Amino acid sequence: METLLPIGIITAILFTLTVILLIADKFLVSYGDCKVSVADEEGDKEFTVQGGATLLSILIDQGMEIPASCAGRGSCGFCKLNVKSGGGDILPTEEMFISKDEQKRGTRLACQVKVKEDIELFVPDLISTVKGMSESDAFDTRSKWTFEREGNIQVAEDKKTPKLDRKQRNQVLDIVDKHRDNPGPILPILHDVSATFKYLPEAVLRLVSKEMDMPLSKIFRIATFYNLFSLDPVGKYKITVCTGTACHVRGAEGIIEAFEPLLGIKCGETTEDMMFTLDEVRCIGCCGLAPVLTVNEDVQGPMTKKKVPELVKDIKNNAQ
Amino acid sequence: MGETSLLSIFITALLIQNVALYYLLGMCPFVALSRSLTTAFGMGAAVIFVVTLTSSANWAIYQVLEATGSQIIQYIVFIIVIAACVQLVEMIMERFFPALQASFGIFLPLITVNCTVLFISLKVTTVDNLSYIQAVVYSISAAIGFWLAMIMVAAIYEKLDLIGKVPKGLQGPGIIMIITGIIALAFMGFSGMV
Repeated sequence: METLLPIGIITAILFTLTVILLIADKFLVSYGDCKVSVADEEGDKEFTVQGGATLLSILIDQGMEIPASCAGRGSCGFCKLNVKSGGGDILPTEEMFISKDEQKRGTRLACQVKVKEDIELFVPDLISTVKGMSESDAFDTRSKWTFEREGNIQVAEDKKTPKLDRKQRNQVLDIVDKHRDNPGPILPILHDVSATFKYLPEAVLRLVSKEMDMPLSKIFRIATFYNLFSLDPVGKYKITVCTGTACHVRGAEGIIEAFEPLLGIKCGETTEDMMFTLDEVRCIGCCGLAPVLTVNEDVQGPMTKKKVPELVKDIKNNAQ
Repeated sequence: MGETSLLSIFITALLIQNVALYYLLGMCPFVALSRSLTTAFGMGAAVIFVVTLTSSANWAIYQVLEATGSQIIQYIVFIIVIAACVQLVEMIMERFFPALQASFGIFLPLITVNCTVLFISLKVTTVDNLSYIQAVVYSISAAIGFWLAMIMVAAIYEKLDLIGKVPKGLQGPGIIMIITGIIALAFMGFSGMV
């Protein structure tokens, strides 16, 4: 009896509290059915959902592609879309990703907006999202494509992108066919494309995206992650200076500074005659040779500032 | 504390034995959210709400426990009641102040384990054995004391932040601890009041 009493009391208290919380939940947190109207480049959609969930999870449930590499934690800032009405005020967790201009336009992060009432959205399509990503500060400014924008969201076709001719197209299709059935085919495909074209032309990536039936944003993510891939045409000789810890300590910055006036370009650029590209990379795994650099595939090290003019001269002689 | 007047309970809890500055309880949300006046204000208000609700509920429950001789489960019961109240506060905030809730982040659910809340519940029951009215007055004034200490520190921190002369190693929690210490010293001056 003496042990049963406390157990009974605890059970009674738990039961009461559960009932109170359930009642509160019914009156405070449930928002009933909410109508979500989505407009995107493909047309308008409308559906009714149970309120209370985040916009991101609702749109993904509806089968829309919303890029969110942080899976809705509010830390990547990619799931931007425009809320026309019914999203509430902007939250402090979003402010760091959304500029003043975007705030005026009603841009919000889909993962932070909770659907509590009828809501109207404009979802930019994937291509413009990808382009927005490439224009944001989160990406290396040196390796971005140049785009023209018309108005706020509409994206003009990039006229600078050269079209692929038949031979190049077939080359790409061959590469895709070679790797299509392997698990994780994108990286080998990009490797081979990079080896064939020396860089990743936008037209090729679009073709790969179409052939593999994969969103361009995913391919773009992989292509921008690895230092080996370049989105801009590179010169015949790509000089990559390692600026990893060991090389940095032993003066890699000085090596880059020695190259710059000699080639007449800044780090990350290509000479006009398409001979040289100067780039830096974090560690090529030859710390014993620090400071080290690669000319295309050849590893040169240990380097000194004095050896730099000699090396450039050698390359130029070889080229002739 | 059997016959103490309500006014003296109020002043004791608010100023003389301030939970934040005298007992130094609930320091984690105190330090973390004292960086801006708005969040400090909101956190203090949430604590006032939770403390008042929990300690008045816990006082009643404790009488039942005492009558049935089952004080052994008091800690468990107190914690459960506190957790339920915090859940309630969270629902209310999600509905009416979503921006404030987002700026609290993890610290709102963490009121559950804020020692201030459990301390006040225990203080009005086992430690001081107050009557119901006294218990309610004590908990409200102690919670207001926490809120008061928090907004004082936050206001001073905001001013210091504007001047921007805080040494690098002291920025953030360091300078908040120092501000808290100095205010606590100042509050010692109240000790002769009651």
